[in-house]
Amino acid sequence: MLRYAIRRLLWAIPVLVGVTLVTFILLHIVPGDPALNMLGEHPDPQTVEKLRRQLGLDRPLPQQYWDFLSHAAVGDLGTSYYRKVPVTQLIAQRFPVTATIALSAMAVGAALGLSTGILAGVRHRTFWDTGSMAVALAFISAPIFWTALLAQLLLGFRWGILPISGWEGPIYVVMPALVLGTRYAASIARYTRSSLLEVIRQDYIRTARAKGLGERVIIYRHTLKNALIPVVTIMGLELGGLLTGSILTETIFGIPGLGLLTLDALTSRDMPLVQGTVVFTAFVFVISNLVVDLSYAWLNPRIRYA
Amino acid sequence: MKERAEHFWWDLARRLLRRPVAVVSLFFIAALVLVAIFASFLAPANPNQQELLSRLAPPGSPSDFTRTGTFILGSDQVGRDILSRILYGSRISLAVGLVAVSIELFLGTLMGALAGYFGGWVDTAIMRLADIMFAFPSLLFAIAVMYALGPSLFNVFVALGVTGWAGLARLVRGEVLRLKTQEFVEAAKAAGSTHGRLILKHILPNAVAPLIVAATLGIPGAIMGEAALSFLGLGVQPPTPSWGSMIYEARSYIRVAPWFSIWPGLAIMATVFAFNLLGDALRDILDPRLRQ
Amino acid sequence: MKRLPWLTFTVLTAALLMFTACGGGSPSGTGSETTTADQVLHDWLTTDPKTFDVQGDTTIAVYEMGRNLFSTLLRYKKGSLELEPELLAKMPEISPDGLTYSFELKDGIVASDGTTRLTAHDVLFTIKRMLDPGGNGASPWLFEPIKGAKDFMEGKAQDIPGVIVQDDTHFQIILEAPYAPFLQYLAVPAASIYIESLVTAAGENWATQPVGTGPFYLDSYAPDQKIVLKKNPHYFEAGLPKLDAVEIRIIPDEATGLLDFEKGTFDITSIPDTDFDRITASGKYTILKNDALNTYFFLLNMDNPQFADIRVRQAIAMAIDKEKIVQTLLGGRGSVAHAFVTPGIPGALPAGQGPALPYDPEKAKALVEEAGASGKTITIWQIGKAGDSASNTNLAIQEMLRGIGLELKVEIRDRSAYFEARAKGEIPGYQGNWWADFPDPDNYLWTFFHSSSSQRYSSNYQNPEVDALLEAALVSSDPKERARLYQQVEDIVVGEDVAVVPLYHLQQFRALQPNVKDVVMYQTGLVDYRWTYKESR
Repeated sequence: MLRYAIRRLLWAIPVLVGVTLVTFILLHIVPGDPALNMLGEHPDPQTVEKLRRQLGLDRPLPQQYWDFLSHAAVGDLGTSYYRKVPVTQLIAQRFPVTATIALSAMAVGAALGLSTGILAGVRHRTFWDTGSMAVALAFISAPIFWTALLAQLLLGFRWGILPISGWEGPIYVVMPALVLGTRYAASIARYTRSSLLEVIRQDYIRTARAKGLGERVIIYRHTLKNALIPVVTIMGLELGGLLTGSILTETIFGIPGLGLLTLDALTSRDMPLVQGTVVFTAFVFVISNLVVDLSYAWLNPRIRYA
Repeated sequence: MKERAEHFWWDLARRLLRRPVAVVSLFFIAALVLVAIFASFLAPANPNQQELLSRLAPPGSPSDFTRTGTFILGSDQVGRDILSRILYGSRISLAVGLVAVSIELFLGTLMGALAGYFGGWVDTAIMRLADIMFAFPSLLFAIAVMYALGPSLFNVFVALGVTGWAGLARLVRGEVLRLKTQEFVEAAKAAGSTHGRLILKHILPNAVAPLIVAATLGIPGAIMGEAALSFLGLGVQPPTPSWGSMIYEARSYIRVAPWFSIWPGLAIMATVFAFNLLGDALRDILDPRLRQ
Repeated sequence: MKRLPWLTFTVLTAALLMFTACGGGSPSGTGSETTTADQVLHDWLTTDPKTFDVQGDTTIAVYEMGRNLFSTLLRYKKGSLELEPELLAKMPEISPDGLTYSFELKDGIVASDGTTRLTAHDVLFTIKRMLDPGGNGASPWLFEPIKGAKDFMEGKAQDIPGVIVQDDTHFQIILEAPYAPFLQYLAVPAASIYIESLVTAAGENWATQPVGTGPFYLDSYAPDQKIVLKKNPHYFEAGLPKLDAVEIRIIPDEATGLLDFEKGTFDITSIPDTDFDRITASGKYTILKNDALNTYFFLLNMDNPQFADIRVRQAIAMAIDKEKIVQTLLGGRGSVAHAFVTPGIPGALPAGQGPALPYDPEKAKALVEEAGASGKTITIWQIGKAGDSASNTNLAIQEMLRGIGLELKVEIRDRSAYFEARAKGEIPGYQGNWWADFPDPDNYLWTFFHSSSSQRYSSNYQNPEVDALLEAALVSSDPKERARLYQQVEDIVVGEDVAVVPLYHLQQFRALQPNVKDVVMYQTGLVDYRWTYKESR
């Protein structure tokens, strides 16, 4: 399994290089000059040239890419055009913020989702089943900025239980975690339910039943662990895609995380920062995928890696 | 082989119609399609006509220009009829859902089939590209594409369509790998079928079940994607009515004119809900592991 | 065997632990609670300034930080448009030929570190740093009129002969040619004076670790999160600032920030268009208001064939019902623009007067038909944002133009793409706005309509007569003569050629919690906190 993990990690390298190349090409197809963006209302041509030179934008494109790649290889992702701070430092500041929210949201999601999913699965075709699945689907169907707004108005403003926005202490995690978490919970609940149903029908459960084991024992001992597999998949996918998800929530809640940083970098054409955040996110994605795959083996020993 | 395909569709329809949830969602989607087609007959006004003097009017307020003489669902920030805009907006949302998913399906099937069928370096190249696309943050990719091409309905199709193919390609590749060694394919090969014919006539029709599920579940994703892009100011061009852009415009008025947010929000929710229900039902029917 | 409750319990505990232990991601921890003591002003911004180096950026957020952290030679008197000395001991003396300016600095000005002294050498350093061809100065135009500045900027000279340092407090500036608005330039925040030894010591970190002579110093900066300014105990104006600290949070979403203001988290807020009526009518807050120096306009790219026919341009100008836009979309928070330069600026036309064509849709329709342009599409660009007053105005104009037979197509672009195309003169037309950098008609008219500058703003207006008038006005020192020349320019550009359609002037507002006093808001859009204090509630 260790060899498998190492091989997967090595495999990630060309993928990451590919990601940087795609980013680089995208950034240069997209119109918009960082120097002009910096100068805003006063685009005096001489100053534009000066800034372009200073940012190294006057170099030929292949050289720009090569310079980026060769520096990145030794862990130097360059310096942000606007913030004048190394990109690695910015990512190191922002990633923990985004990860905190993602993990808390996942905790909320797992707690709510697993219990609802199990309830629905066990009480298959009852009111609990349909009712909870309808609620779950409603949560998935609602645009996230809608639920966020609702939470801000009710929990934050009307009842005043939680802060509305910002990142000033632990309590500030709760609202975004709830908003994101209910969403995760909804998908986890749906998957838990269906995988539970699937597993229940399988032969070894039937055998267990035939042996006369109690219904509870069967569910808890035999089905849950297997049913967790798709749940882990969901968690891995959502964690891997945390940047995508965090763009909207961080904008709405004013959280200084990676999503906001990336969006801002992209809008202002802060090329090194876009490159850095995108490749880092891709890296997180690759890692979390690997962790998911490895945890399959733990959850279901029948899965083996060649 | 043809018989087998026909049997498949009949069987699918029969099984779907036995499920009340699926019937309800199909009914809703059919109604939505009709609304989209006949929006110009149903809408009480031109969706772009404004009356600045009666902006942000609550539901039921009198109106100068709607056929009913009132803004049934209220008016928006420049005094347009919200009901008319929602009815016309169904066109955009459905189009985004269908076209974006079609692009995804096309690219995903093509890439997956090529990779699975030919194997070797074709497989490696395509699947590495898929890995890269998979690892690339998708919303960011869509945003960058919108920046590059500029906002327009067509570009929304492209931005959402080109981001999602990687997952489908993996799915199709898996199916193709499974089918390619089966007897009937080997038989057709022995009978002298060309590669294209083999893939199109013999392999893909048998891989259609998981694709239907993925596509149905992809549609709500694309509809939400349009809303998310609109939220970032990158949706369709004004004044084109789309639910996503309506929610976005309405968001800042939530405190003064809540109805402006609620209607397009409900429209999106109901549509996404219906497609999800349908997708679930299809998966229950088609997924061989769930089949009893 | 009761596994289920156990599982739920662990997951819940994990969740709770995560909630309570996550403080690690937040550098400030419980900071906000301990500083809520009196005289801390809580403010918020939608965008992080990202840099505090006023030389390297031109956005209003950075300028506002600049006013807090640094000082300029001259400034506007509290809330007015009249200049007064800031770092200077008295107003500079100008030689009769209008070329030589003699300055005297206040004696004994030290930076917020309490030790570093500001001298006339630092003025020279500041000017050189802005003009340095290898530096990051983004507003070299401020010092460009100085003798020898151009050669220095092009790297042809090592020194600027136009700046003469006489001693620690005295220096002279010699201009290349007489330049009427020069003193105004010195009050622009980008012209803040830096102290050489402090800039050198900070090195690379200057943008985020600035030290200046302003009323506050930068205590901490958590990017995209919070900026904390503390009172500068060594500030050279006795008794100022009155606040102990200013905490500025960054909240990208306007609606969210406003909600937090209403909850009482913030002491001051700008008011989004959407909620203006609700906030002002609530009676809960103090409302600050002034006639800001801005003009919102509809610009027609003169090089674009869609505007080639003067009749089409006239028709557009006459089809837009500005009064209706001001009354409905702006809720009366502005005034109809009749000229391009904002009324109130010395040399501008008085409010309500100007050469802009009057609203006349009948005539506009006739003109479009006469030009054979009925049904034609006119394309403009807009920065990617919806729901604000600019995009609502575009929607309204779209309908108004449809009424005279023109289709207006609004293409949305993001900020960077928009600025790039605009600087290349390629935007086919746009609704834009101009907030005065300094109160002089030159800042508006030269910028958009002098042939040396018009391309950068996609106006592409070329008219030797207008060029000559603008050049004459620039060197004239007679205010009446200047006003006359600028009015002539307005008549030609706005009245005859219709190169631009002035739409409206937007008033500026802030809402304050009722216990916050003496916030000063300038017509240039900047807000000054040095006199601000809080009463206990």
